[in-house]
Amino acid sequence: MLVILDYVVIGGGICIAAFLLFNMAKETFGKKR
Amino acid sequence: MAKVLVAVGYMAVILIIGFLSAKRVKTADSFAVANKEIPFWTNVYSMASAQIGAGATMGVASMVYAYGLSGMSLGIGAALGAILSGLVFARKIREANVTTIPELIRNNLGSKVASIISALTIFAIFGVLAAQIRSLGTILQIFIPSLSLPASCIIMSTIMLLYAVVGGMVAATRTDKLNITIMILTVMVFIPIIALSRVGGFQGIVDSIDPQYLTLTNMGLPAMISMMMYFGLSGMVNNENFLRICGAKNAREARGATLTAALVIYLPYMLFCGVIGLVGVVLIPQLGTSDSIIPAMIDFTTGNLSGAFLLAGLLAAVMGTAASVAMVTAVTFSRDVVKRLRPAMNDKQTLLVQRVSLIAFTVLGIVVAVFGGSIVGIMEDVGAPSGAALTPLFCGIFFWKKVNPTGAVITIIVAVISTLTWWAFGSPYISHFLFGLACSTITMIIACNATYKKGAVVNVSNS
Repeated sequence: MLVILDYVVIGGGICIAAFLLFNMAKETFGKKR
Repeated sequence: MAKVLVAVGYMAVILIIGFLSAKRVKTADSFAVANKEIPFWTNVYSMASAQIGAGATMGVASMVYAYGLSGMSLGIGAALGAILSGLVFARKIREANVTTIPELIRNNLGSKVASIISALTIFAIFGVLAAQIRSLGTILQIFIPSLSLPASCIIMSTIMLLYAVVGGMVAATRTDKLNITIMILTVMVFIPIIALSRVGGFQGIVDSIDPQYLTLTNMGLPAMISMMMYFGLSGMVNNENFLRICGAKNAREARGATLTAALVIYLPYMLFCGVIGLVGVVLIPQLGTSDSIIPAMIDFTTGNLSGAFLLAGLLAAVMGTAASVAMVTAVTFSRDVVKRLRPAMNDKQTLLVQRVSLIAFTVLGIVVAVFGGSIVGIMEDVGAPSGAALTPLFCGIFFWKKVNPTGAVITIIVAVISTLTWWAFGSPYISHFLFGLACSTITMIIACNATYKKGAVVNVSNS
């Protein structure tokens, strides 16, 4: 049961970080409107 | 040695970004709110970076380390406050099109109330600034343990000042991106993975931790409620967030960015800090002060070079908050105190006053940081009277038409006196902030009802 929590925490952290960094990179280095 | 090199390298990057951004700063307004055209995600990052200062990063982990799961009440309170700020206020603040809280008060309740609020908020933000300088000094000491606290405070403040003075808000929002990126990776990815694998996952924590750390009320209910309310409300009515909301392109973006920052960064970030604190109980049970659990965990779980890089990230997060707090103090002082005394000041003079006051407040901040009791202590004691006065008035301005200048002045006086009195008596039963807040809220309702004159024009800015 607690093993699932390990995966939720580690996987969740990676997903949130990836989502945020992707959006930031897109806005910073993407084409200017 | 490697740690010091990484620290120096990081500081150099921060300075270069500040200097490059300086070319864009031409007027006092662009210095203050980055021309009111901060792009959406940049603003999200900037807001999250302001929220994730020493308070969140070191505070939540420290509370969980000291009290177990119940210590999360600080994080949950702060996150709820930030979410409410987005849901209820962000749009209204941006639509009011002002830069500081006193400016908003002046438009709604007149100059007299605004002056009093200005003086109060300057003290409160100054308390936060001093606390941030203290945190910066404490973190630098982990890089260079032989450095004394005054020396490390002075070094870090000088760097913070340099890029804030040269680049203003533009530099702050630019370095925020770097700061928050490193922090997100450190707190949400690197440390949890390494720490959880070292401790044997959550099963390993449950097996080896004292069971009282896993109860939800270990800290005691009154203390938990006080902490949730204090950090929740000060996160909701917050000058740093105010400045960033006003920097958004429009009201819709201001609300969206505030909510995104709270839900996608701040809340998960707090939870991860809690996890790190909990693992810390198992991995480093004998820590001198719970305040240093995050840097201690970084030091403990990583190698020399990678650890130095991650510590630089922590330094970066606090630096971002310190710089923007210093900025808000300077902007508030120049616009709401100096400009009131000398209304004829032109744009160039205003900018000069902003920069000089930025330096002056930072120097004072170093003094308070070195001689103050503790990081959280400095913030709470100085911030409580201002928070107790501002919270009801702030809600009243937006949602209650009977709020008027006379009632507001009475409310402020009662808030300050009741908070300080309760504090002087040692804050029995509940915190002095909560006591002051209760007194000021009741006073506002009674006083504004009694002094309200129907038909009197008060809300000039919302027409």
